[in-house]
Amino acid sequence: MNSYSSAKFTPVAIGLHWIMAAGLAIAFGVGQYMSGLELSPWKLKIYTWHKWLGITLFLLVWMRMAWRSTHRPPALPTTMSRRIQKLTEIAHRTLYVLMVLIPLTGWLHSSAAGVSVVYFNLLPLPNLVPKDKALSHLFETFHQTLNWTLLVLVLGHVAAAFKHQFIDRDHLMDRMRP
Amino acid sequence: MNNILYLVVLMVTSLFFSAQSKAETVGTGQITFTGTQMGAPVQGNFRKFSADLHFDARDLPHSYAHITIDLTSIDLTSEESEDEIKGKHWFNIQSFPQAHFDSSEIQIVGLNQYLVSGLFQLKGISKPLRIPLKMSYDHGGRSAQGRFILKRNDFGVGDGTWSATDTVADEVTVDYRFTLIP
Repeated sequence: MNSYSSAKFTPVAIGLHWIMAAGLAIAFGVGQYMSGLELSPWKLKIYTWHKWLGITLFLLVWMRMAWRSTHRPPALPTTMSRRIQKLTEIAHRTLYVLMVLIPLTGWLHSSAAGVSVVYFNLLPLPNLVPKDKALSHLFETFHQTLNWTLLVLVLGHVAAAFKHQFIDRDHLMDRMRP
Repeated sequence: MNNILYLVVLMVTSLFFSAQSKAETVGTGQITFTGTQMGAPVQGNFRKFSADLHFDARDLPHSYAHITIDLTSIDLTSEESEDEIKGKHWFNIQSFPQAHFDSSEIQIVGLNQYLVSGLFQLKGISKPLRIPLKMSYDHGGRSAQGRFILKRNDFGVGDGTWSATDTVADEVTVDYRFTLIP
C-alpha cells in the first residue's frame, strides 16, 4: 500500500518495546497501589517485587539503547513535516531518559531509606547513597514526578500512534507489530 | 545535613555523659542495627542512648557497662516505619520507652577481645545476653566496639501478623562503637 509498511523494526527492538511497555505499565500500577497501603508484611513484599521489576526494566532499557545504537530504526514517513519529525525525536529521547531515570531514582530512594535491594533475592545491589531520610524523601519526589511525566509522554506516544493508524492511515504501527 | 545534625546530637549527648558518668567518660558512640526484610538488609540506628562504662583490662571484675537506649530516638527507613515500630506490635514505647543492658561479668577471650555477659531488657522482657567486645587503642584514646545478633521474637518485637519471619527476619544484627575518654 505504501513504502512504510515494509520497513519494520528488528524483532529484538519490537520484543524489547512490548516487554518494556508491559513491565512499565505493571510497575506504574503497582507503584500507585502500594504507596497507598498501610504498613504490613504485604506492603513490604509488594515493595520488594516492585523493586525487582524496576531493576529488570533498568537492565532492559540499557540493552534496548545498546541495540538501538547499533540497529538504525526505520525512517519516519516523509509525509511528516520536519518540525514534527524533530518533535518526535525529542519525545522518543525523553522517553529513554525517563526509562533510565525512573528506576535509578527508585533505587536511590531505597538506598537513602536504608533498604538495600537484593535482586530476586540472589544478587545484592550496592547502596548508591548512605542512609539519609531527607535524601530519601527527595528521591521519592523525583521518582513520582518522573513517573507522572512518563505517563503524560506515553499517552502522547499512544495518541500519536493512533493518529497515524486511524487518521493518517499510513500503517506506521505495523513497524512495531510483533 | 543529617550528618551535621547527628554530630550536634552526639556532641550534646556526650556533654550529658561527661556530666553524669562516674569513673569513665564516653566521648562519642553509635548504636546501629541491620534487620532483614524480604531477604534485603535494612539499616537503622538510635540517636539517643546513655552509656555508663568502666573498663580496666587489669581489673575486669570491677569493669562494667550500663547502657540505656531511648527507643523513641529510632531512625528507620521512613516516618511510617518509625511510627509502626514505636507501636504496640513492636517496641510498644508507651509502656516501654527504653531498652537496657547491664553487664554482670566481663571475660577475656583473646588479645583485646572480651565477652560481656549481662541482662538485656526490652519490651518488659529480660534475657541474658553475651556481647563480644573489642578494645582498640589509638592516639591515646580507646574505643570499644562489637557486633551481636538479637532475635526480635525473643522479646515479642513484631508480634501478631509481624511475627512470621518470612517478611521480616527474626535476627537483627546490632553494631556498637563507643569512644572512651581516658
